Amino acid sequence: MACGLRSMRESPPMTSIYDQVLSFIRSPDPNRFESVALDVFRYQFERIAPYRDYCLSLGVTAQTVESLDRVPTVSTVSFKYAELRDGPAERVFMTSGTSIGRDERGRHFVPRLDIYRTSAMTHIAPMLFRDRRRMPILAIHPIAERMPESSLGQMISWCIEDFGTERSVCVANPQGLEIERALEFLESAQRSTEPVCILGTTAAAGALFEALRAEAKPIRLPAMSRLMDTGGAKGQANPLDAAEVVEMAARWLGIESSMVINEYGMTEMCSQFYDATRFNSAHDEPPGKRLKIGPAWLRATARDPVTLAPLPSGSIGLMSYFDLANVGSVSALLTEDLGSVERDGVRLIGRAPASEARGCALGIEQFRRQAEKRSAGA
Amino acid sequence: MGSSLTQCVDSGPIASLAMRLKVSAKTPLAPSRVSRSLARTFSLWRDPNHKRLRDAIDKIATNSGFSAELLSESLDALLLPFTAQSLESFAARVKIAPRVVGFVMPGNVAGAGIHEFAQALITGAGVLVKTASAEPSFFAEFAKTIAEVDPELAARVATIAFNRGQAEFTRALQDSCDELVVLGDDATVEMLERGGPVIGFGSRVSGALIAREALAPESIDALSDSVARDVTLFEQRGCLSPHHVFVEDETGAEAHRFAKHLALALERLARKLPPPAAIDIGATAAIRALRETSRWRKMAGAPVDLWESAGFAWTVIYDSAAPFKISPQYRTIHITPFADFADFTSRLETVRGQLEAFAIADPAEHLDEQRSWLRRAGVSYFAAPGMMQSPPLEWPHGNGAFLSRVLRIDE
Repeated sequence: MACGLRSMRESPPMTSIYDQVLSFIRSPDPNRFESVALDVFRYQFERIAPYRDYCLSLGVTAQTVESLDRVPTVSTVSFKYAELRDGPAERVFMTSGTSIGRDERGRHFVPRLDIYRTSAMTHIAPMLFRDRRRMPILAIHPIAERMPESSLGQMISWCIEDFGTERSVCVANPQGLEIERALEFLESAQRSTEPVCILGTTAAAGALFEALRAEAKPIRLPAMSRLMDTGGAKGQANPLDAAEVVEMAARWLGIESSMVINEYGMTEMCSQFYDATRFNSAHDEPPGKRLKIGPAWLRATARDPVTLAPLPSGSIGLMSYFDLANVGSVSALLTEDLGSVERDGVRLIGRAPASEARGCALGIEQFRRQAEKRSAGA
Repeated sequence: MGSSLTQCVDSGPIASLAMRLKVSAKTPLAPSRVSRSLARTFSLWRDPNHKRLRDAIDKIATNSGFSAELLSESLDALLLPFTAQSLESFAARVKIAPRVVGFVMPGNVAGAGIHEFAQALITGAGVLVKTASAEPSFFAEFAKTIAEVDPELAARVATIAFNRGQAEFTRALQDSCDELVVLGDDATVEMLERGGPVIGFGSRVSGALIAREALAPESIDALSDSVARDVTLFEQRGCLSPHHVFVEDETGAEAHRFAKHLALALERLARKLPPPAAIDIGATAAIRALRETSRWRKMAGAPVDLWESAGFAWTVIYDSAAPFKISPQYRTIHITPFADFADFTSRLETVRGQLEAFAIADPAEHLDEQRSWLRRAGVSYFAAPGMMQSPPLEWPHGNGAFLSRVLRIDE
């Protein structure tokens, strides 16, 4: 009987694994997470050749893994070099390019967009639209039809469909922000009592603040208006940290601190984390030190960077995730982000510094900045 | 007496130490006398059983986590060129310039700045050394040996420690010294430049260049051992440590073979000079990211190969397409073939102006064009493989900024 059960687990019915995940997302049961995750791993091992090769190179097979901690995690860089896909993709999302070196972009092949959508929208609802009202949305990042390869663009499009009103507008295209249109939206919103939602990258939010500062035109958006930014320093000429985003949002848009919610996600992962603030949780910590909360179908683990062994709660390590919503690619991901896992979520301390920038040796980050300066000047 | 580290709790001691040094410097010691005392001091520090050296190594090992064996070998390599002959020869060529030279020393490499320290003393200066909080021991212990060898010379040396964030201390240091020499990252140099003129040695990297003839079967193992030594000493954290090795080779086969030999050599050396028991999480994460990238690129069929130790003792990456790569340190090295001069220079374009040293293995001496280009690109020291951490006393560090502007060598 035991053998029979194991045999069923080793080869979950191919047609049902997606529905099994979808069902879990719709009705999460923490007690079932590990068993569903192991089914997903075994499915991915069988179906995704580069992942199987990677596991085999580590001496791991679908049969030798009996607990989630033993599932091999793949570095997110693998998405740049391997096609981690289960058959044809309904959509392919791409990571942003780098400013120096070869333009290698990661590709996330998503065979079923409905699972991605269910994951993203089911979790953003309590984190950003807890009050369950529709409102005008200002997209400061290109939506899906303007930038189909952007996973953020797709999420924003879904948000507009699920939480927006007919007054929602996208003021961004791949070339940049249409500042005039953004200001028109904000000025109009200021005259109304209806709260609005601004969605986009931290860099775009920074550009918006800069435009308002240049015009010396602070806006006072209606109460309960909100801003969701993501991406942190990436792409910013003068990077704003989390505290500065909150401060600028208050100064230039009149958005209250708890309504500025940073998203932590990545193209390679179909689920996301959001800042815990008093708007969406019992937490009330200053920006930059906020806990980030993920959904029940995403498990975070901080790992020892040398051994990759899971670390106890509160210990800082390399962040890894098992995202059930990634069922069509690879769910067990290892990032380059440092952080810790706490009972309710994760606390991120940022991307691992490439090396200590002290002494007369050149740290990678410093080198990169200099190289970027040079290419900007070229 | 200048023989111990003064931990500053307010900026007062800085001004009084500088004043004391200034008074001493007014009656300068003859350069030949200083060179003899320094020669004796360096000779003691090249004795592995010298108590002050052992004390310094113990303290640095505790602070940095580096193995005592690695530190002992690294410091010995650094001090190797300070012979009686080189010190005497230098002393014979300088003019006395009594003044107080302040030094802000870096924390990444124990002993970095020793060239400028010795040069300043020989020219009759009093030297006030601000040690790094990450590495406060080397110069404090070295000053103690000077005091034991020549108390009068030791009266011209003082070492102090304070946190570089304490702006009033930094100001006092700048105000009290006639010249300020800063070794550190670019941000530190820039920060101190805002307070007045400084002679700055900012961030630099190094590399190695290997001609095809150097890879002959009878010499490849010795060459690999030498390059492994350059990579390993000081855990690759100094400006003289190579980050990337370029091998003259049109097909890549020879460079790949060298990479394999280098991996074996690094493994051999790691047994003799153990890596740190633990390295900081940022460096570990960076090395892991590099390894993962290489692994996946190789799996995707890219001309990349990876050799790695168990744990994080060392990493060798062969990458035929790479431009100069900055290493996350801790014995992590890239190997890349180059076809010709144009190919070589195109791969180094990104670090032009930031290069400090290059090891060159060129038995047939036909890589002169590359050497000239490197010199124009800022390389101040060319070494035989295995000797990168031993630049001569008169090494024009940072393109000779200190030698030419401060020492006024009588040419």
